[in-house]
This record gives sequence, structure tokens and C-alpha cells, in this order.
Amino acid sequence: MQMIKVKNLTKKYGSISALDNVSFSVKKGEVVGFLGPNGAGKTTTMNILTGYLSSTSGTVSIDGYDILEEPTEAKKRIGYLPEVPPLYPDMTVDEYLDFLYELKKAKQKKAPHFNEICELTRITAVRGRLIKNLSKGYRQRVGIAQTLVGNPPVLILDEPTVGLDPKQIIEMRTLIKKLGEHHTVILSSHILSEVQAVCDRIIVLNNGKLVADSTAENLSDSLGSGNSLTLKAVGSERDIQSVLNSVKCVKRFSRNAHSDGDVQEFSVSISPSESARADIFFAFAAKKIPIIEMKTTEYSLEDIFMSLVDKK
Amino acid sequence: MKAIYKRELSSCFRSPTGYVFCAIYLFFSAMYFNSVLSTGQSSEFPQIYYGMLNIVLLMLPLLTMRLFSEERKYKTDQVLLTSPINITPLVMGKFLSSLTVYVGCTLFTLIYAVVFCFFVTPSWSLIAGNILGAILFGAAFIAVGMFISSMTESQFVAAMGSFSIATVFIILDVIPLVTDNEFIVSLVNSISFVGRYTPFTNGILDISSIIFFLSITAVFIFLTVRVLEKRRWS
Repeated sequence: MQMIKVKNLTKKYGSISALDNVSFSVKKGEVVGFLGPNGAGKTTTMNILTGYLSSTSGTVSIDGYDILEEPTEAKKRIGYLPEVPPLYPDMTVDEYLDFLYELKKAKQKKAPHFNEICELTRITAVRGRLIKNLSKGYRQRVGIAQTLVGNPPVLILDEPTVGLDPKQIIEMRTLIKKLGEHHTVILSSHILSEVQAVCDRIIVLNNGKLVADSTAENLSDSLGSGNSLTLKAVGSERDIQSVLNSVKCVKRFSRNAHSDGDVQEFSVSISPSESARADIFFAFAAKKIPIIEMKTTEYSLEDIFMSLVDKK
Repeated sequence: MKAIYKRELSSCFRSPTGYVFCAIYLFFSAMYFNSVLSTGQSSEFPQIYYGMLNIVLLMLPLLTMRLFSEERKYKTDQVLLTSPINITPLVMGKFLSSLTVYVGCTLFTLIYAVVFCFFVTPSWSLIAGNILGAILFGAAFIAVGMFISSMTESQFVAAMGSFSIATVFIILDVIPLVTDNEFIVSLVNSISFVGRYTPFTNGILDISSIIFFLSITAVFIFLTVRVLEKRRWS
């Protein structure tokens, strides 16, 4: 079932287009990551999805409700954490949640609902404190707690881990994963490993255009992962090169800069074949050159990202 | 609307703003009351409200400057505008919260009237008319101040904007004194807040003045809603 449907979304500021014909949809229960450099249009997309900004053209529907035609129904289904958590510094956490409870006209029983939210986001200890006295990590968590008031099915989180320390980032990821069990989540980030760790699917934006919409594995495959090896062997450079030259499935190879002493490291690109690694192994074995390490190169999201962004 | 109203009102008294406003209002109204009391004439009672006009004009920006500017500064407008409520109740909630503080202060002047009772029998209808006038006058200027606050994210700019308009209103009344041009005089009289308020101090319930203040209030509330809506489309 489609929870979020975005069709041909375009947003223009004067002659500059912040978003250009972006379409995607998100299924119920999916956790989707928006990835892109700063200024790619992630925040703009989120602001449009939540009804904070309007689009120049294109439609957005949340659970079947158009954000322009039936804004109240659509907004009821969204919890939004903007880039800067929208907190009132002069309120305590409890007062703030209380305010949102009334603002969103939530139907849940208040006390147990708040207890549940505070347990989940681990802010129970600071419920009575003024928001202006909270640390950045707690503020971010109160920001997440705020999205959960009224238990909306869709959560939209704009860079939820920005400005947190490494321990808090890990906690935040665990929290988002947990939220993903019961909610449809869209989050944005430019920390690539984070998106990889948390999301089922990745949407890459660059310069307002959608450049990829796929799972992390598929993105990696599309770059030709698996056709490239890193190989470490003990021997002279010339011997190893001649062995590599003799193996049929080796297309190209190059010596890596950080080879040192007897241990030589090579990047080898091979033609896709089941037996490629075995062939290389036997060729080296025949020349009595020990291979101490051989692995397929896995592209990190950074590589995927750079290649997608550079390509377009 | 109720949620916004409650939050605004409590936030007003969480910071010094609300207290400072009330203190200044009570201080000056007490000064005027003191001078009225020394004349010993109950017919002078409206002088309190008349005297307070200029002070109220200069003080109301204190209440209205933060209404929307602060939301934009803290980015909390994002949570308001993405929650399932319309913009009009949002604006009304904020407007009513400021109006409540102002009306509270104005009603406090009833104590002066009660003190008056010990000496003379005050004309209650005159006092009621004056309070009604003062409230209408304040409501109109609160709407103007709120409108200005919705246009900037700096409280300072919002306050200065409202101050300038207040100053213009005060200076406006000097113009008829220095010119004989009938057109200018009638124009100034028809848009002057103070001029529109004068009938109330004379004990006249002037329908056109009531409508004037109500329409100014409505127009600026409407404009504030439009400013917030327009930002979405910009």
C-alpha cells in the first residue's frame, strides 16, 4: 500500500529551481533515506511533503489525502522533525508535549501516551526541565518525541543525527530503526553510512533532481561491485604482474600505492565469471607466490554517491 | 486555537514581558487617576483613559513584537504550520492572548472607579463606554502590531515598526492644528485612532467609531493570515 505518493514535484524560487520533476512513492512501513549534498533539495522536499511550503507544480498525497486539497487530513498523518527542532525554550518538556497534544488534537489517553513516547525517546528523566536548559542530544530527542504525539503513521525526519556525538548518533539510529517497525519513515542525511544502516531504500537527490531510487545493494551492484578485487601477495612486483597478465579473466590491474616491502597490493578488475577468483588463485599457486588476501571490492555509499553525483 | 491561546498567554508571563507591560500600564493609569482624584470631579474620570491612549500606543508593541517574530526565530512556526490546524485560528489565538493581557490591565482601572465611589457616585455608563472604547482601540492596534510581527523574524524590527506607526498616529492629531485645509483635516480625523476614540471619552457611543476600530482589527488579522499563507507560496 502506498503511504506517500509524490508526482512530478517542482519547486522554483524565481528562475532557480530547487526541485525539478521529482517523483517517488513510499510504501507503508518502509524506511526511506534521502541522500544528497547540501542544497540538493532534501529539506525543500520535506517541507513540501509536510505542507510547510507549496510546490510550484506536482502533487503530494499522504495516505490518499492530497496535501493541498485536504491539508488537515494529510497533516494529521505526519509527524515532522525539521532541521532545527521546533522547540519553545521557555517551556518544560511536559508542557511542550502538552501543547502539541492539544495542537494536534490527539485522541490517545494523555498520560500513558506521553509515558510511552518519553520511554521510547528516553527523555523521561528530563520531562520537568525547561527546554532551554537541555543539551543538544536531548533537544533532538524531544524533537523526535514531538513527532510522535498523536501517533501519526508517517514520520519525516530532517537530518535527525546532525550535531550529535557518536554515542548519541548510534542511539538515534537504534531509535529510528525501532520507529520504523510501526511507522513509515523518511529521513534525510548526508552521513551516508547512516542511511545505509537504517534505511530499506535510498533516494539520491542532486541539484533538485532525483538521481537514484533503489536499495543500497542495488546501487552498489549498478556500479559493478563484484567485478573488482583487491589482492595482496608476497613477492616481487614484476613476478606478480606477469602472473596477473597470464590469467585470462583479468582485464586490468594496478599496483596500489600503499604496498610496502614484500607485500604487494593490487587492484584487479576482472570479467564477470564464476571461476575468476579460483583461476587467479591457481595461477599464483603455480608460481609459488602466496596470496595473503583477496577480496571483492565493496563500494561504499560514498563511492556510489560520488559516482552518481558526478555523472549527472 | 485554544492550545495556541494558552501557550501564548503563559509564555507572556514566563518572560518579563507580561509583567513589565502590566506594571507600566498600572503605573501610568494610577498617575492619571491621582491627578483626576485631585480635581475631585467625577466628570474628569475619562481623562484616565484618554491620557492612557498615547502610552498604550507606545506600550502595545511590547506585547505584539514577539507574536510571530519569535516563532520564526526559533523555527517553531514549522510545527505550527505543519500541524492539522488552519492559519486563521492560529492567528486568532495569538491575537486573543495579547488582547487578554491588555483587557486585563484595562479592567483593572475599575478599581479606580470603585475608589471613586467613596466620594461621589460615578457615572457607570460613562466608565463602561470608556472601557469599551479603550478595548476596541487596543484591539485595533494589537492587530496592526501582530501584522508587523508576522513580516519579520527580528523582534526589534517588529517593535520599531509598531513604534513608528504609533508615533505616526500620535503626530497625526497635531496636523489639524496647523493647517486649515478642510480636506486634510477631514482625512486626518477619519483615520486618527485618537480622534476616533474621543467620542467615547465624551460619553458618546459612536457607532461609526466602533465600526472603524472593528474593521481595522479585522483587516489586519486578515492581512496577517495572508502574510503567513503567502510565505508558503513564496
